[in-house]
Amino acid sequence: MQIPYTALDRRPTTLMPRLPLNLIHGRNIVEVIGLVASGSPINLMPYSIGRALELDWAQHTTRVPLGGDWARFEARAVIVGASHMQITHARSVRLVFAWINTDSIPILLGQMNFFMEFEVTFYRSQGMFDVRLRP
Amino acid sequence: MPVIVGLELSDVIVRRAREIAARTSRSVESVLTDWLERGAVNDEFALMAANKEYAAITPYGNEDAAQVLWDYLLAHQMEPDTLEAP
Repeated sequence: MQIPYTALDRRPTTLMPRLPLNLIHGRNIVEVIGLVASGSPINLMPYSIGRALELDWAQHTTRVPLGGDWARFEARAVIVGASHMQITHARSVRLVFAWINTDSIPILLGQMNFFMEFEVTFYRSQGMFDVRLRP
Repeated sequence: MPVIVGLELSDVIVRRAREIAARTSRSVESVLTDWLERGAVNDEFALMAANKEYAAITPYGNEDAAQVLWDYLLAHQMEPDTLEAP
């Protein structure tokens, strides 16, 4: 499925590949827009999204050691479902996230494991990208 | 793990390190460590030959985090799927 890049404002420099997804945990579904970030080794989920999914911080005890700008934050490993009507159809895909205790980041969809579950091709000059489930 | 080593330095080097330490409000040891680390990186690049392919010598970052998530995913692979919405 081809999806257009979206901008934060009128500046073309803010164009990025952003993907709308439903994140699912139990009976909770949260609609999010994730930044498809091939340069990120991991999926990253801000704290409030996890809470909206009724994830319990205390129950998720596997700590994820973050580096760089995120090193000052604590993060826990969580698995949630992800679905998109046209891409995953009726099913959901298991995505593992570093659930970080800050809201100062966007949802990042990175190599572990978004890019392991989805095939993505970027056409930046045409302002769009293609996403499909892996074979 | 950090290791403490003893070095015999010339007066010139010590004087320069002290000057920079005073100017930047750092310790002399910190300045010297900084110099050594930068020298080590330069040496790594200097040893590289032209027209030869090398693996990236600097990790991009968060590879350890990715490994933790991968292990976590594998460990929870066999769990009943509780992710489906109603």
